[in-house]
Amino acid sequence: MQTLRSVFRRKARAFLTIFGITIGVLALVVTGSVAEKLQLLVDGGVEYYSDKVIVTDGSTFAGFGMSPISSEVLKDAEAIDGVKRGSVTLNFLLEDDVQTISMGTPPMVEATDFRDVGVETFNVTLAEGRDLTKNDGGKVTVGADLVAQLGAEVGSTVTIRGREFEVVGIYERTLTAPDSTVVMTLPDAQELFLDTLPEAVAKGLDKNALATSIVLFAEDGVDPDDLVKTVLKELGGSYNVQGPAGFKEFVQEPLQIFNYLIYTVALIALVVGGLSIINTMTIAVSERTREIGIRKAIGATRGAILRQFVAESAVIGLLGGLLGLGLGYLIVEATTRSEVMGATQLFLLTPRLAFGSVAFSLVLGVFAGLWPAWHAARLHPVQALSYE
Amino acid sequence: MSLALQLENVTRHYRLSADNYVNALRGIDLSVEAGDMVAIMGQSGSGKSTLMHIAGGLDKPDSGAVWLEESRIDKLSDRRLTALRSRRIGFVFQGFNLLPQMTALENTALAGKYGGMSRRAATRRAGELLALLGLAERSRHRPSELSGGEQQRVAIARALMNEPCLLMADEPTGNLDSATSGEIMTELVRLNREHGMTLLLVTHDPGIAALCRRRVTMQDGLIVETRSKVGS
Repeated sequence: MQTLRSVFRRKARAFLTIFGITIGVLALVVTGSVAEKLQLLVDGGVEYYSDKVIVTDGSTFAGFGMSPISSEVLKDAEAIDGVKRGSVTLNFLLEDDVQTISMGTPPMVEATDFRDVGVETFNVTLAEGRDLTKNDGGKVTVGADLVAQLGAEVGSTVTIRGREFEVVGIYERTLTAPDSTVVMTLPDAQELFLDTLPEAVAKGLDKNALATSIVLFAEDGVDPDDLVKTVLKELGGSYNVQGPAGFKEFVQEPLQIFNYLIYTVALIALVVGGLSIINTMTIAVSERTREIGIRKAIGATRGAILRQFVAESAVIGLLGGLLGLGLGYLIVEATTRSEVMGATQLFLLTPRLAFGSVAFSLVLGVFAGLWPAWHAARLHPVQALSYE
Repeated sequence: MSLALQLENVTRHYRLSADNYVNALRGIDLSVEAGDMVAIMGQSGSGKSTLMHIAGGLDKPDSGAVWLEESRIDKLSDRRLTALRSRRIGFVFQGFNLLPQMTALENTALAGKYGGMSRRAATRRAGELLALLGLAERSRHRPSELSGGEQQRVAIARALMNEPCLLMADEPTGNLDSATSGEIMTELVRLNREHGMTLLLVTHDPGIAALCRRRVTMQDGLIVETRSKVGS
């Protein structure tokens, strides 16, 4: 209580200093929330890709297959040593023109031939309704982020690329790619996909063999990254084959650099705030020299003076941190609410980020206060008492 | 009678610039018996405040020895000197020196806290002392809401918090009108007479010095005269 009173004796200065920390923590919370969300998204991807090899058309990049590949490849691929099962998948954008630029994955349509059932370990839990089966033509399951956008509820009808589908299930929010995915049967997807292709391209394609990627599950004990080499050799050079290492190389490593960058920017903002604490506390010590003299005369030890000023500085850091976290939370919440309406959730304010930001600002306050407090503690009582 | 304070050949100089020194104390010998009330008189610059700072453990001499009861204090480390100051010496200053952001009660209790009391014990004792000095009703007021006399009584209460063996007062009535000065001096004399508190008073005022049993006059860093009251 005394500490708070001392901090707010110069109200304007206290608020300005606290606000400096608030801005730093706000930057850390908001950018950190983006980093945490992307991290989760990528972790989801790492988990998904951990046990499989993805075969796409040679012209695609990093396994995100969009160009068609023939599902006939499946037979050859499944014959390769080390492949336990193969499954045809077809992915394409939910809408041709993506309206919002999102930091996550864009809304997608996904379909498989259900050959992965029982082999796929990466399964998304349903919030409502039931999962899709092979014979569910004309039906879909919808990811959590797309519920509002499509107006989906179990039993209702949604329109995808001009065609109506019945919703049989809605997925639980995962904060990863499946949140912005609509799942349908392969024949439905093949028909829809064909309609999206230019007529000249579509004409030469066999609708029933249409796929964007073949997912190969490695046999137990087979390293999927080793399997990549075998598959490449067996299938020939016109395919792009990616394993877990490829995903990490193309997505996880760049994300780490991005994370370092945004955390560095936020930390610089906080350190600038820390310098303003040092400035404020130095002025406070100088203004309160006489008070320090009085305290020493009536028995305050150096340690007591040191603790007093470090506590005041820590309070500035802590209040700035809490205020920054509160503001950051409001911004993240407000943006998330509006973002979910359109596309993928952009922010994820995790407990470790919230706790870490406030703890960092507290520690920053303590360290910023050490030098001025040490200076105060060393003042000579007689000289301090005669200070006007 | 036992000695409360003893100074032996104490010197102290201050450096004003590279080759300019002031010899504030030039060999002071002074003994104060327990329960005594001594006035230190002298003009500005005579060294009386420096004497009080060294006797009270706020400053250290260049040479000589300072004894507080049986303890030699001039060689103590800062930490031990601070501990001794907080428990055995009480200070009352001319400018009251209360902390403006704290109430009378908090100002008083602070000395107890620094002396090692718990917050609760310090607050209770501070309340008792303020009541003893007639400030029970004013204990929740801040210094800016108190008169000069009330502020000085708070300062006296604060000085008494840790039951010191020696109370030092530097011009305790210097900022007060004559009526209030009289009240404060009555309190100090009462503390000395009724509670046996040893008092060392620095003052310009011969009227105040006349209330003390002994008067020590300083000039240019030396004690030039010591007078005891007749009959004491």
